[in-house]
Amino acid sequence: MNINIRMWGDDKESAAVRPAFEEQVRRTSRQAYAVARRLTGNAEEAEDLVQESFVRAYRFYHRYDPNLPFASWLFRIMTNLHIDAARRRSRFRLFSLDSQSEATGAAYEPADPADSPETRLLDQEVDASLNLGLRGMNPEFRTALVLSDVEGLSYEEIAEVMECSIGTVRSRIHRARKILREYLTQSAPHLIPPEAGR
Amino acid sequence: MTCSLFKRLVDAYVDSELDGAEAMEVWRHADHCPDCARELARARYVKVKMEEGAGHGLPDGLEDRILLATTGSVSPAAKPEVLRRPVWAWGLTAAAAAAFAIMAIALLRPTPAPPPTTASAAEDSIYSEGFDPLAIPIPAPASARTASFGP
Repeated sequence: MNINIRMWGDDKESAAVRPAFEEQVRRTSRQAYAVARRLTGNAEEAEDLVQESFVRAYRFYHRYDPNLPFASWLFRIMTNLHIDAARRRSRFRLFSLDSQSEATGAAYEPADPADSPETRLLDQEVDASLNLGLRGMNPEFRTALVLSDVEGLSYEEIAEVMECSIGTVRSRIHRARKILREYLTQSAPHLIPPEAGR
Repeated sequence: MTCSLFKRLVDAYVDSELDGAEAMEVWRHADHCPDCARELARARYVKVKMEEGAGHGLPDGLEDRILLATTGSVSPAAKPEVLRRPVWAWGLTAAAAAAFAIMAIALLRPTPAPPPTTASAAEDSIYSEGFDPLAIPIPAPASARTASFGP
């Protein structure tokens, strides 16, 4: 889906903001996509989420405090959009097996050529299982976990992004990872390495 | 430390979010509790796989679509080659085009008729002035004028 909404006119203010914002896009779009990819579980939704987040960031760029990292501000926008969308979706769509094809059929990045085909296949299977597990959980848990594991944010930074306490972040991450562990153990025990198996 | 407390702290331990004393207790407990050691291994495994699987590159054109949807611009890399020529190149192109046009005009202009020879010029003037060339008396040869045919 292409979102093509220009929020600023061709006035002086826009001309001043444009180069700075474009630089932010170039610096953070890759990170934003990595987070969005894990949040949504597929390429198409990830692109939409990233694009919509930047559109909103541009619209409200005058509220951005340049003393703070732009990425954190962008992630706040992105996580709010994601959680809102997930809530809206859950009202009329139940998690179904259809989503399995989305998770497994998504285009994967080619793995390291040094890996054997079996390892690559296994990694893809693990990835697909993780995406399924992520999709099935509460969006707040998922968001906290993705910000921690994909973006490498500290609990304190996640608390700022998600506008909650550090204790809440700790609890969300613990519960999210527990869900994933249990999901993998039950649905794909062959993916768990022996030292971590039951 | 109990197994129940360990399980509550294991993820924060994996994320290096515990203080030194807590982290040490978690580590000691896992060291002699096989069940909790496996729980720790699973927590680490999930974290590592979450990190590994997120290495997707940016899809082609996404950055340009973002720029177009926000600032309305397109990155230089996305512009067609012809639009990325420097100004001096455009000037050079214009000068070359002008030179070519001048040469083309010079080559294609109709060739003027060669200047008339003296004889044909005389004929032209005769016709143009309404003379009849047949009416011009032809002078008799000198020998004919002097010959005598009778006594």
